[in-house]
Amino acid sequence: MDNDATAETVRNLESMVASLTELLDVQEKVVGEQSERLKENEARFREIYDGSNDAIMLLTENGFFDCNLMTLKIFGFKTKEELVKLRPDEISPPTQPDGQPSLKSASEHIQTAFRTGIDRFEWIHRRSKGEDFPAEVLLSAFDWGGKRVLQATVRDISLRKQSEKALIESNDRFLVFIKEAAMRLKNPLEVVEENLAIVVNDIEPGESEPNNVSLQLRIQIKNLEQIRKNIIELNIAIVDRSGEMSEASKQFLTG
Amino acid sequence: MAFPITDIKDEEIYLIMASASDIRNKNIELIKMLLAKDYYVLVITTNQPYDVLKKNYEKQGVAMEKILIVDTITKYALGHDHEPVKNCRFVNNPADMTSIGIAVTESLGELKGKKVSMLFDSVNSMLIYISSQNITKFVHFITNRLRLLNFSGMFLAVEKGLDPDVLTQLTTFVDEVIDVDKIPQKT
Repeated sequence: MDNDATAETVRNLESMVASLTELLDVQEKVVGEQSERLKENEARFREIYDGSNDAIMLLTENGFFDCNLMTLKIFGFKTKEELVKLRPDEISPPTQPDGQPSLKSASEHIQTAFRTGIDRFEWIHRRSKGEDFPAEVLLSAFDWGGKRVLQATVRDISLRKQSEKALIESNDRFLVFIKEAAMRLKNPLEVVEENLAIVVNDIEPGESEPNNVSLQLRIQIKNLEQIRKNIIELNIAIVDRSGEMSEASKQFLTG
Repeated sequence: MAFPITDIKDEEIYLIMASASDIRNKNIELIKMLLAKDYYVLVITTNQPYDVLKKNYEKQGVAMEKILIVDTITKYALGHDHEPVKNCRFVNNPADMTSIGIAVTESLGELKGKKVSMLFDSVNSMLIYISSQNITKFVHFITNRLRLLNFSGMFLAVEKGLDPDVLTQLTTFVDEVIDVDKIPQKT
């Protein structure tokens, strides 16, 4: 090989090295950017995971292996380690409201979620200090690191349940009130009707004494006065209950 | 049990149910039957005033000697006192259960040692002035008092058409329920 050829080869090699170096730099830059993006994504995911208002736990068939910060807050644990050593039924009372043991029922829900991909249900959980609370649970199955895992999202629905209960109680009270009001209108009106018929029956054959007729009619007037007051009481309850109503309608009903 | 009741058991409390249009006649039948069995009858009325009751009873051949009345309506309707009557206590207001309770207690005291029964006339007319909850409380109070006094019998006249829940509560205070409309009429 002559000197020229050797020099040419060296130049080519240098050029190739330069290109490869450039390529490596670009690749390094791309990898760095991707890694940065991954870190950003992970941080964002962690932010969402830990910033959630719901408890989020990750579990396999062997039990919990991770949870977010809200889980610790809702269940009253200080560290994740306290949770991961427990089974789902161990953060629940022994039985659920349907009478089923929590162990059996939790296992059935987990199997359903692994089989179908998702399971949503209401559940009674127990905090670390022993207080039970109603929860809405969503189990979603997905693949993670070559394993099939479940994400359990637990929402504390104590306040919603309290509102529902208060609404039911309020409706029950209103129903009782309506029944009472209906009875205190219909039955007394029958009494007045009957008493007036008696007065008429006594007057027609001329057997009645004026004083007695007057007294009986006075009583029926008093009865009707009181029935009118009872109707106004009922109307006040209806106005209180019915929310938006014009002032004129309110006055008409309660005046 | 047949009506009129042939075998009143001492110290038992009965709830008599009749339709509103029939209850006045049934009450008179019941009083006649009790008088025939030598009972004194204490009538608590929130419906017919004493003067009208007396006239009706006399018209139906019911002697007033063994009848005592607690009249809760006359004074309220007249707005002033009725002239005193030997066998009647007038209460100011049909909603004043305390005064009615006192008048009943005084009347029972007057009849001490005698065979006495009590007739409550009527729940529907009481409903004009008193809530069903307070009526059941009052009936509970009276029935307890009667049982403590080894009383002869009490008859609570109830027109049909009451809220079934209220009726169920009232039936828990009594020993027997008599539905007069279910009893075959004599021919």
